Amino acid sequence: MRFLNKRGSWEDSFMYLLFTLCLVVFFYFAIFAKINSAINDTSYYKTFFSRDLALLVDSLHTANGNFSVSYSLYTRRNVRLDANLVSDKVILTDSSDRPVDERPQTSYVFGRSAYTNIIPASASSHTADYTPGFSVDAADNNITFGNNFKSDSTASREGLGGRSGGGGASGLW
Amino acid sequence: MLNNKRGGVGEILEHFPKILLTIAVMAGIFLLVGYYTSLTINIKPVEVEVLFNRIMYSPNSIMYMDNVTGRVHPGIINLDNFTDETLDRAINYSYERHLAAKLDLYGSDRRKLVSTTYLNKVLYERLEPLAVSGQKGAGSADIKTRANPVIYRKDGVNYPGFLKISIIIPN
Repeated sequence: MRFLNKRGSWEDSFMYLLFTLCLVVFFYFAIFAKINSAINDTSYYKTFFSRDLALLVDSLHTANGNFSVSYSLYTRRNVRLDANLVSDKVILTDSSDRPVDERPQTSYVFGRSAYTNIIPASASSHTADYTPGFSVDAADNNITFGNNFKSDSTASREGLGGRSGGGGASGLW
Repeated sequence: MLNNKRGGVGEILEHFPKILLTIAVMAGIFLLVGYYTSLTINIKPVEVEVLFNRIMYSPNSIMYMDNVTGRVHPGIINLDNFTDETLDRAINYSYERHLAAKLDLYGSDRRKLVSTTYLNKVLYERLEPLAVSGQKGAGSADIKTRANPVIYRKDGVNYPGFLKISIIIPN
């Protein structure tokens, strides 16, 4: 309340308050924009799932026998992703009607083997029949994405995966 | 009037530390938010683990495989397959600057070098000096080393030995 005791000082104090207010508004919007972009940006999901799936496909090259791994592309409700398996990498894109080649892609390579065939395939986080995931199958030296998803309620309960577990492989069967 | 102006400048100067403090606090909060919303994903340790397991367990690689049953015997190295060509056929990356490894097979005393083979030899030899010297930066790499007791099979006879695997991960 010093400004009440001084002539003309209320103008300075007012300008100071105005400046601080502007700073706070700018700060609020800057923080809000940063957090909002972190929440709405799908690049984190795409980076995570492309690497996770590439490492899974990489690991399945060591399989001595047939394996099927149930996998959930668990995302927030408004995030829809497509996973594409090609000969040397896993490509994640946002779901769209456009061809995969025309969408922005996030990919990660896996170690190929001359003795294993990669059968190109696609899977989506939101399928038409509401299946909560897909399977990554390794059988007879072929690796592909399939429809053998089986939810593992035990794994989900323990937070090891599945739809309620935050994504990732939900177990072998 | 001049006195009033001087008083005004003085008043503004009086507020200057407060303004600086306000900016410092807000910048601090901004940095903290940025730090805790980090979206980077580091998978280097997992990649090393996966490559190590691929070397140790992959069929049609350096490990002895029963041709009739197709079963791999992890830990038993077929010395005939302990070559760069075998490894590069079993594991290769479409992006050359991805991972590389050097496999040194020693005798049971860990001194006598029996054989050496590479995965992605060109990249390994290019990055090894930088990785070993601990150079930082985008052009350098990390190196992880593991040694495992193994058996190596030569002319149908099994010998005890140690396999030292050095894996290079470019930054």
